[in-house]
Amino acid sequence: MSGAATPKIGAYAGLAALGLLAALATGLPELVVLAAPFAISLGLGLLLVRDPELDAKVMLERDHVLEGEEIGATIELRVAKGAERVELLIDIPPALVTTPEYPRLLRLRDGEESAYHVRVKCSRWGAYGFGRLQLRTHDAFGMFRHELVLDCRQPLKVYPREESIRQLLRPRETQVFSGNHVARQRGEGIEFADLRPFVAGDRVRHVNWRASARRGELWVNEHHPERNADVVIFLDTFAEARRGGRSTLDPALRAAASLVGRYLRQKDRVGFVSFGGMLNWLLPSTGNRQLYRIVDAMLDTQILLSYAWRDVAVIPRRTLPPQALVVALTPLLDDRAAGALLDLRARGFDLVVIEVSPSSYLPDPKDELEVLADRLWRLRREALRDRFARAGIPVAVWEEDSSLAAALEEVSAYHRFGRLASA
Amino acid sequence: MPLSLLAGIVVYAATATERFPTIVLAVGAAGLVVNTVALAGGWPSILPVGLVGVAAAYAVFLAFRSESVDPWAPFVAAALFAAAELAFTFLEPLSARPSRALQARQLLTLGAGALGTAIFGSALLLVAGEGGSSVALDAAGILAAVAVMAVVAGLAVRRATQDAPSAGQTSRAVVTTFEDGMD
Repeated sequence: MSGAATPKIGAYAGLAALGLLAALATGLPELVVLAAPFAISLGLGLLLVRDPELDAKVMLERDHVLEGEEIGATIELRVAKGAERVELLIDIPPALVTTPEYPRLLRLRDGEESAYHVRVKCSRWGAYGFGRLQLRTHDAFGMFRHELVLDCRQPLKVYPREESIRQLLRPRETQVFSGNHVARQRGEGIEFADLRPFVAGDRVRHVNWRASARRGELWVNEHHPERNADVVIFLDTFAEARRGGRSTLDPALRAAASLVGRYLRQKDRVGFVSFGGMLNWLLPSTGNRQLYRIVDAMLDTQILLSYAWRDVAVIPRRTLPPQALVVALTPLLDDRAAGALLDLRARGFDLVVIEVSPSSYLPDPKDELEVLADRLWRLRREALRDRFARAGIPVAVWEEDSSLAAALEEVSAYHRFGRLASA
Repeated sequence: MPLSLLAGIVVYAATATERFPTIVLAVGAAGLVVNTVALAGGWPSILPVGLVGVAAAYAVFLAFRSESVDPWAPFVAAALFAAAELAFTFLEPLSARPSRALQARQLLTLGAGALGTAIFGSALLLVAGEGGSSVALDAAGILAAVAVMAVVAGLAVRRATQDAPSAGQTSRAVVTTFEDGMD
């Protein structure tokens, strides 16, 4: 706690002293009458001043919410020694908005216990601490003020909201465990693959009786097994385009969270790599626990400015299992990220790039020079996309006003076409 | 509101004076200008200068007065005190608007203070009028004035010692954070 005298104390002392001295010098009792209230007020203010004793508790309705949701919070104040006026300020990050607005001016009496209800709107994803209270108290005479900070922070996790996805990208290769993807290999499954002559050891229930009757010998059906896949979400955090409170990282994170949730529901193993100024990764795994682990890891994601050169060699090998589908979400603003993606493709990964377009975050060009710079910038991006296409990497541009489903459909078509061409 | 109270004091002194109303008005006007600047610019440090200016206008009026005691002095004191309280309240750096209840309470306290000033001033003038003047009374007055100022100074020094931040305390940091938060 810190305390400080207000300018009033010096002013009143000066007025009282001057009035009394002038009264003595001139012998005018009226001047004593003028000075007396200032002297009395000052004396009482100095005598009655005390340090306030306050304690607080902050409670949140829930500790995890979805982006855009609103939750209730209760601030309980227990007052041992109160104050005439107390300014209560909740120290909150800009992504959270409280209703009613704080700071508020209150009067707190001794022994009072009061509760204040606040609605908190969580407008942006992230991991926050809610409940750091800053209080400034004023005494009844306005001579002193005290400031204290009560750190009653409660963790609040705001998860990114889901983007609509109609159909997920199908990985080229599947793994050995059962899942929802029809494997290219033949084995036990539902999806019909081919016919072949019966060999010893084949099950009788696989015999195709119609084909056998037509050909005069036993033929059996072959099937594609349903297998799971390894999917790695690759998030480029080298750079972002930002305008106001919006940034390219926001849609990228929403897309990443949606993709992780959907792939995990399909029994796939999902991993996460945040590749940028700070490298963060999670080994591929399955289940709900993995979903929460990845989403929690995403909440800590931020753009950190770094000039250090990074390539995929710094990513632990187990994070990128062979034959994994790598879905990269990137604004393609940093050469290091582009280089890493080309490197991944060169290493044989099934790579898909969803470009979170930074165009809508840029200011409109004002003069001829800016128009020219804008054109050059767009041409460079086009050239980069062309480089990706030549390397066999499907790139879909995801504009802010379009849905993720459309971008996924675009790369999905390229993916299918690429597979046919290579077959 | 504080300016109108102060203007009232200046107008009263200028109209009630028997001699040199221009001087009274000039001194009072100077005080009012300083007060206006302090309130408009949000500078509480120059507010006492303006208050002294207005009080000086009244003192000039008293000095040119032939009668012994001004019967309106308690009301002038009440007006000056109320104006000072209102001006300092106006200049207080509050980050939120007070509620209606709190405002009403502040006004009530101010009214009580002004009334107390008027009553106390009347009593003081009554005592001063009855007692007359003598060397002993003057000496007692000097001693009382010195004692009052000594007590006030002593209390202020004691508070300052109590409030001084000890080693390792980060009071400045706390203040800075609060200012940032208000922005």
